[in-house]
Amino acid sequence: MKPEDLELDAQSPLESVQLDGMVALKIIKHCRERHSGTVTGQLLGLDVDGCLEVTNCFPLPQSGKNDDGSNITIYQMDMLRSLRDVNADHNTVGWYQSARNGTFITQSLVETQFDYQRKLNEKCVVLVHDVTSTERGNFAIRAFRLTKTFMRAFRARDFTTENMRKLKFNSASIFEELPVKVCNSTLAEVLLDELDTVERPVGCDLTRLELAGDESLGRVVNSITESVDEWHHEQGQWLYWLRGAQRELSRVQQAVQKRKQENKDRAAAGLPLLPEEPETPARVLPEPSRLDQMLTAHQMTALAKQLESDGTANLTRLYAAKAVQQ
Amino acid sequence: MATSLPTLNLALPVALTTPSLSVSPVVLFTVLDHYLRRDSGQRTVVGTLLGVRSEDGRIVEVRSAFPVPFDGKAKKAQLDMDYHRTMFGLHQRVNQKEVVVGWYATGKDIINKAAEIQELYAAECPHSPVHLLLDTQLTGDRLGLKAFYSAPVGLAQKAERSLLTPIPCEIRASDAERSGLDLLAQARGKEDRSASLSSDLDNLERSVHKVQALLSRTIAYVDSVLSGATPMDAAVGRRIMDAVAAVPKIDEASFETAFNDHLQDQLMVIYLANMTRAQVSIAESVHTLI
Repeated sequence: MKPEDLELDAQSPLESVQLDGMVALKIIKHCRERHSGTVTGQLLGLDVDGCLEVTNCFPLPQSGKNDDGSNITIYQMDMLRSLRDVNADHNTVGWYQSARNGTFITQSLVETQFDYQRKLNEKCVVLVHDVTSTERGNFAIRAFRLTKTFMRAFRARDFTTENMRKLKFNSASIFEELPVKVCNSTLAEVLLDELDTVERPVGCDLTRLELAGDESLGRVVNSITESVDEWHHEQGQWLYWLRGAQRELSRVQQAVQKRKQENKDRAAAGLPLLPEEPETPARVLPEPSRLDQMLTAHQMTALAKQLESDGTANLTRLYAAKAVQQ
Repeated sequence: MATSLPTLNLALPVALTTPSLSVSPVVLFTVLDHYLRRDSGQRTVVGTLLGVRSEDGRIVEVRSAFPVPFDGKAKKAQLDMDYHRTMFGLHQRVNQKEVVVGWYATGKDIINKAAEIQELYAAECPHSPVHLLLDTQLTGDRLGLKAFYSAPVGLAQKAERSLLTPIPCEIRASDAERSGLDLLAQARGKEDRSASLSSDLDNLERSVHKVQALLSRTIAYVDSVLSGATPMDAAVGRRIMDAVAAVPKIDEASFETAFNDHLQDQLMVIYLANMTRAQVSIAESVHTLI
């Protein structure tokens, strides 16, 4: 490849993510090993013509309480070196995280992804694997990247209302989602053919028809209520700041008005004028970052979308059950 | 009489000592990936199997695997056991439950260094290691997964004097893994060997179609039995009876009430979800205005 080609390649936008069958299964395995909390791992692969091919991955150990992260870095290094020895791709292209009931948007996710995109490679993605959905027979994995606008704002830590307005920024423009597809090697196809016998079909068509979606629906409703509360709390904080800022500004304005009036009187009386600037400049507190609220809003939208699709699927199941009953 | 003990051991029926083995699909995928990424000129690849084992070593569950560099051409088996230990140490940090249970290789028959490798792995795990063999040359168009277990032969307990006995091996996937495999299976037979992720509803649609197909097959079968075209089979008949009896008997009125209640709940949730979305987007627009 010529250097120009490489440069061109680096600029071409990422359009999709392709997972190797092994990677998909490894992620599923790792995510279901832990029942509580989230797990993370690293993705390895290459990007080819705008398609990020993830060909391998490895799980990351849970960081302990008094761990400064250096242990994990050593672990990553060792793992990458070992994988290189057996000809696996050792180019980091992102990371994955497990999620339950669609709640995954947290500040730490944004921060980690920001680090990946800034320090390692602009094309890094984060894969979010919804364990609950997968266990119900619907393999759900989504790929996200932070948008350029967001990267810029996050680097400057500038999340004031004014800046948001200038960048035409809202919660929908934090992440961009990339379509995900899975791909098998030819040998893996043969393996799948052998696994798929009549007695034990490889698919899980019948698991999907179970009428047990209510519990998880309830949990999603719970977490959306929590998000609404959180959003409300942040909104309250912001309004408190706004009121304080406005009070301060009007106080200063009044002082200036008063001084102007006084100067007019002084001019009439032939006295020297007093400076018109206020003695005490406006002490407006810095605006609280709007990031948290935006993330919560994004979370709410995502949850609402999930509720909608889950609900629709449940309706279908319900009608199917009715048909069986009749 | 202590001297007669080895003879007694040999007299034990093989069935008593063979472990029952189950393998997770992810292991097989790892082996195939390793084979695809082998060095040029390398004929067979070898690696470690990790998993859990019952205390007496009789029940083995292989859950994951990793490759180990191996030089098959040298006279003595050149397996990089240092690499194996490093990698095992790294795996232990993520999952402490998984221990070394055996090793895998690829090829049509058991590789000729098998006895030596078996000995190397015997030192790594408390029970006799199991061995998985995948035929990546596709003899007879099959991958032919085979599993072996070493049984001691002869009086002296020496590693070279063991016999790799075939044992049955079951491929077991969890619910979560099955949904992954389900998607992978959809990619079969496509030109680019890939499949996009489908939504919950698309999947549901396929499931319903599948059930419909199964039902119509059953109905066709029952019809042909009734008309006398197919001989009656009591076993199949009993299965069909069981399936029909599995539908719970609820009287119509109470089913109707339950159905309607549920329907309303679902619609309510969908309505609320939509409302939340609308509210969020209004709130955001208002924010950028002030």
